[in-house]
Amino acid sequence: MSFVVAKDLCRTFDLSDPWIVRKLTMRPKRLLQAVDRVNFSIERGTTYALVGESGSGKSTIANMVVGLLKPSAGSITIDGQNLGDASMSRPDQQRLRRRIQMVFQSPYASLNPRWKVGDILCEPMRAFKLIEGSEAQRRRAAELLEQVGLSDSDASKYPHEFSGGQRQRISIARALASQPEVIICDEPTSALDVSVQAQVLNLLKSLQKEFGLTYLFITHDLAVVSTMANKIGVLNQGVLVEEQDTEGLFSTPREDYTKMLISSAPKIEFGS
Amino acid sequence: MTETLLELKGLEVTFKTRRGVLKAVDDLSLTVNKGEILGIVGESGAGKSMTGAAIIGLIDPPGRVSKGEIWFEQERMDEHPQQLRGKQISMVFQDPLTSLNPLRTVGDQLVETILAHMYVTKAQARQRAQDGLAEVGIDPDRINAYPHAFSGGMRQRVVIALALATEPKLVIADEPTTALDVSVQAQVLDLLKKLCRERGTSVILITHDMGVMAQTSDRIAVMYAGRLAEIGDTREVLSNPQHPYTQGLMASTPSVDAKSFGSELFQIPGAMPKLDALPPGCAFNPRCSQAHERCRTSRPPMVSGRAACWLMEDAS
Repeated sequence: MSFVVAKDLCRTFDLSDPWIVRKLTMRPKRLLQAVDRVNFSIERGTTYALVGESGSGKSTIANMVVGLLKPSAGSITIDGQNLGDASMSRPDQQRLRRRIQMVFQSPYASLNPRWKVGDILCEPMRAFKLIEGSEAQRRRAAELLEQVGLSDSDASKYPHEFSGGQRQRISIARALASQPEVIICDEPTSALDVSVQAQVLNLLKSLQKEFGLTYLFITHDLAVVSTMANKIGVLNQGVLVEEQDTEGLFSTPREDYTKMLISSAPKIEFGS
Repeated sequence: MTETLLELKGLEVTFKTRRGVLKAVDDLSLTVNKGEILGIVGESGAGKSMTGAAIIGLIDPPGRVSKGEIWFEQERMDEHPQQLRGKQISMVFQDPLTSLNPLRTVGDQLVETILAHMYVTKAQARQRAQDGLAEVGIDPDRINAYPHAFSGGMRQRVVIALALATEPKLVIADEPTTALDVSVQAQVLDLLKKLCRERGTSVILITHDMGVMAQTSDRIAVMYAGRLAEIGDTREVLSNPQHPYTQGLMASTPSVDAKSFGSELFQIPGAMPKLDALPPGCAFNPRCSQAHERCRTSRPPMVSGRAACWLMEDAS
C-alpha cells in the first residue's frame, strides 16, 4: 500500500450570510465545494505534485493532509493510519502528526519574527518530546542548520537578519526538526528569486535522497514541477482532472485543461 | 529607421539612510526605440522598479535622482516629469487590486484620466472609455461596474485600458502579470503586446521572469545590484548570454518539459549583495566562477554596448 493515500477527499466551505440575514432575505445557504472527491496516492520516498491555478483547491488539500483542516468527507491515510480517526488516542494522533510537516509559501510570514532561529528550531523537539535537555536541543538545532546550508552561529539570530532564500532554509530546517517522513511544500519557492529558487529546490532534492523523504508539492509553476515531481496531479476547480507521471504529462497530456496550462507557461525558446 | 524615444544617460538613484547613501540605480544608460518592447529583468533589489519609477518621476523621498539625465523625444524631461506623466508616459503596476480605486467605478476612473490629459468633452471621454474597454476585451456595458466585480485578469485589463486611454508614447509595465495565474498571464501579455504594436507604443516591461521576457520583449536589459549587466536583442541575449550573471540566471531557470526531471538545477552560489555592502569592482564578482583579479578591483565598463564584464573585454 502506498505511503500517503487520499481517498474521496472532499471539503466544502460555508460562505453563507449570518443566520438572521438569511432568514430575512429568504436566501438559502451558500456552500463552496473547494475539493471534490479527490483521490491520489504517494509512494514512500517520491514526490507528488499538485498543480492548478488559484482557487483550484490545491492549498486546501495541503492543509487537510497536514491536519490543519478537517475533510468534509473522505479520508487521508498515512502509512496505513487514518489521519481523521476519532478512535485514535491523543498520543497516537500526535505521534502520527510528528511524521508530517509543512513548508509554507512565504518565509516572511511563517517564521515568528520575535523568536530566535534556535528557538524556532527547538520548538518541534520540545512539542513532540523528541530531545530532552536544552543543551542537546541546541546541538540538534546546529546540526539542522548545517544540513540546510546555514551555519550553527545563525541559531542566535532573528529571522529578519536573513534573506528570503535563507529564511526558506530555516523553514525547511524546522520541518526537519521533528524527523518527519512526509513534508508538504505549499509553493515553497514562489516568493523567491530564480537563482535562489534553484538553490532551495536542489536542497529539497538532496534532503529527499538523504532521508528518504516523501514530498507533496503544491505549486502553480509547471517548470518547478517538471524538475521536482515523479507524479503530477492536475487540479481544476477542486476536481483532479488528470494524473500522470511527469514524463507522460508533459509529452502526452490528455486533458484540454492540462494542455492549456502547459502551453501558456512562459518558455524560453524561439519559434522559428 | 529606429528612432530613439527615450534615453537614459548615466542615471543614478540614491537613498540617504543612516548607514550612508545607497545607490539603488547606479550609472544606468540605455535607450528605448519607438515601438519597441524593452524588457528589464533582474532579481528583487536589482533596481529595475526604481528605474521605472525614476523615468515617470515617482520616486518617494528619501530617494532621489541624484545624477544623470533622462531624454524623451530629444527633450530633457527629468526636471519636469509631471508634464509627461499620464499623457505621454503611463504606467501599469503589479497589483491591479491596489492600483484601482475600489470606491469608484472603472468608467469614472477612465473618464477622469482622459479628461485630465486630453481636450475632450465629458461625453467624448465616456465614449473613449467605452472604446478602451472594448479594446481590452471587456464588455463596454460594464463601464459602471466597480473594480471588485472583476477578476484579477480583467482588472489588469482595465488597468491596461487606463494606461492606453491617453494614447501615450511609452508604457512602463512593472511586473504586470506577477499577481496573475499562468493562463491569464499569457492573455494579458498577448493583449499588451498586440495593442502596443498596433499603436506603435513603446513598452518598458519590468519582470523577474525570464520566460515572460523571452516571449514578449524585443530587447532585454539585465540588471544586477542597481547596475546594467547586459543589454541586447532578446534572441541574442537568451541564446548567447555574455555576462556570467545572465548565464547563471538562464541555467537556473527550470524549463517546462519532461527532460529536466531528475537533473540537478544549476545554482548561482550566494545571494545578491546588499546595497550597503557592495563588493569593490564588479558587483557580481563574489558569485562569479570566472572572476579574476581585475574583477575584484575595478568596475567593468560596458563592452561593445553589450555586457559589463571584464571577461568580455579580455576576449576581444
